[in-house]
Amino acid sequence: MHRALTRRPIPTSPGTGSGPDVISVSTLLCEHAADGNRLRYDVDIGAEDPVSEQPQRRPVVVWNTTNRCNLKCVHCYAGAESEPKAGELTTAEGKRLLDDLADYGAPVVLFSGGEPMVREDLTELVAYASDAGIRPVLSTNGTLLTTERARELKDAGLAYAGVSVDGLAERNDEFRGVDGAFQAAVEGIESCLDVGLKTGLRYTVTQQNVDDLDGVVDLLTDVGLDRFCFYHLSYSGRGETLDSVDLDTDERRSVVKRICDRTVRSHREGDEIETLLVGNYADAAYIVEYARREFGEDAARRVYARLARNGGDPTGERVAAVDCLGNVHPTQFWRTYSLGNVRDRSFGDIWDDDSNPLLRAVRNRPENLTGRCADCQYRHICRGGSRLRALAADNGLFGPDPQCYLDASERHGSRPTADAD
Amino acid sequence: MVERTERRRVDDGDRAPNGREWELFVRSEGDDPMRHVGSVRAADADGAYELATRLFAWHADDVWVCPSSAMTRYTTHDLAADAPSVDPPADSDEPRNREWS
Repeated sequence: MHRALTRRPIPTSPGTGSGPDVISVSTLLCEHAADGNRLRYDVDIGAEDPVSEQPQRRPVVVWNTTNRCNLKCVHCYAGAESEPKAGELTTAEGKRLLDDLADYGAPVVLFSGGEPMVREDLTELVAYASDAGIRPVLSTNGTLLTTERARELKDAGLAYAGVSVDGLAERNDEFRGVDGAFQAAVEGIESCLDVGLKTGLRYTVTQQNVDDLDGVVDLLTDVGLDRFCFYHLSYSGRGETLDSVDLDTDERRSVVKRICDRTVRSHREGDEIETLLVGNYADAAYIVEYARREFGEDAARRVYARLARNGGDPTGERVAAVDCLGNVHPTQFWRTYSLGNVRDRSFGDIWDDDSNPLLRAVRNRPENLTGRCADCQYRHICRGGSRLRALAADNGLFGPDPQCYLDASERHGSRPTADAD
Repeated sequence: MVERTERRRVDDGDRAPNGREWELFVRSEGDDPMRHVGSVRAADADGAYELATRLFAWHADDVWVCPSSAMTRYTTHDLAADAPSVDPPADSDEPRNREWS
């Protein structure tokens, strides 16, 4: 068995917590970074322990603070534009929202956009969130992250900055619609590293940039980065029409295997990078199967037990989103449906309103799943994956996620959970 | 005691960062009330209806959609503290705030 898997006993008691929303390849396969923050979410927020032993009872809230962006990414889930939308939450309203979230007990607020760094009050809002007891983290394209601004944000209490890069220079800049975006993002990452602000890569994998993935990891490793988050494409915003560039099943299996292989190899070589997979819970099942293949049945059971604590795709439960106009969404990607608006009702009242039949159903998914998900052995650690992609593929609200890449033998094979200790 | 309820008028137009927002109401059985179940984003009423049925068809018999821009919300919630305040009626005769005895 690989030494990394035996370095420390893995707690295996099931049902006591709420496993990862980001799926940490390094933690699950290499026992990496098991201390620190114990919050779970579907967005990368820089937690040092992406596999929790504790349940997360309140959602991480993604706040898309503005619809304005300085880039023009073809896959933007928010459909961001160069100008702000009229009626975006003001600084004062934003602070009241943060109070609202703090009162409700939201553990983390992820400042996103558009590009959140175009908001001149970002540092002020980060400081306000931090003072209110919410962990402030940032999702940014990195191009505006000068050393000075990185330091300001860190001093304001920012806990993490995830920086999006989607290919090497030529491909990234084409994808992002602006020449020089790649270099500016790399410099942004360097700024974070210079001032000691925890940072990581966000890379949305598509057919168009999959070939650059290793090159980007190599380049950023040389810069000093050690945290890499790989996103599956979400079918929303401008990404809604991009299913033609999405990976097919074989490509997806291949790239996930590459990421697993690279992670394990780097740990064997003593280079402990963190790698995370985000946005497709078939990955959870795949990693169980990978652990069985590479390390044996006991390892697979331990990995399953850890994943089972959380229960897969967090839509409508452990992640929520508030858009720039105050609309509350079940995830940051589900832009076409809103549960309510924080200008006329508190976030907590909206989120706790179980009279909403859709919210109830989404929170009770494994019982409702149809098609090949209905009897899949992994439905409790995946929860059917993305409802948004299922709807986009006309599979229905409870139908299979078209990005699921498990084969029939994986869906119906031995049950690693049945006698997990 | 009668509380004077101070509400603010939230009238923020379309309420969709992209496209148009439609308030959504569904009824699950004929003798149920219409229930507000959030809003959907679509180009027109038929698009909103189509999206609504994909989300709620398993639950609802009847579906109504209304442009969000046509909805004016009067709220006591304080996030909209900068919005225009609406004076309570002079007699404050609002039964839901009256302590009946």
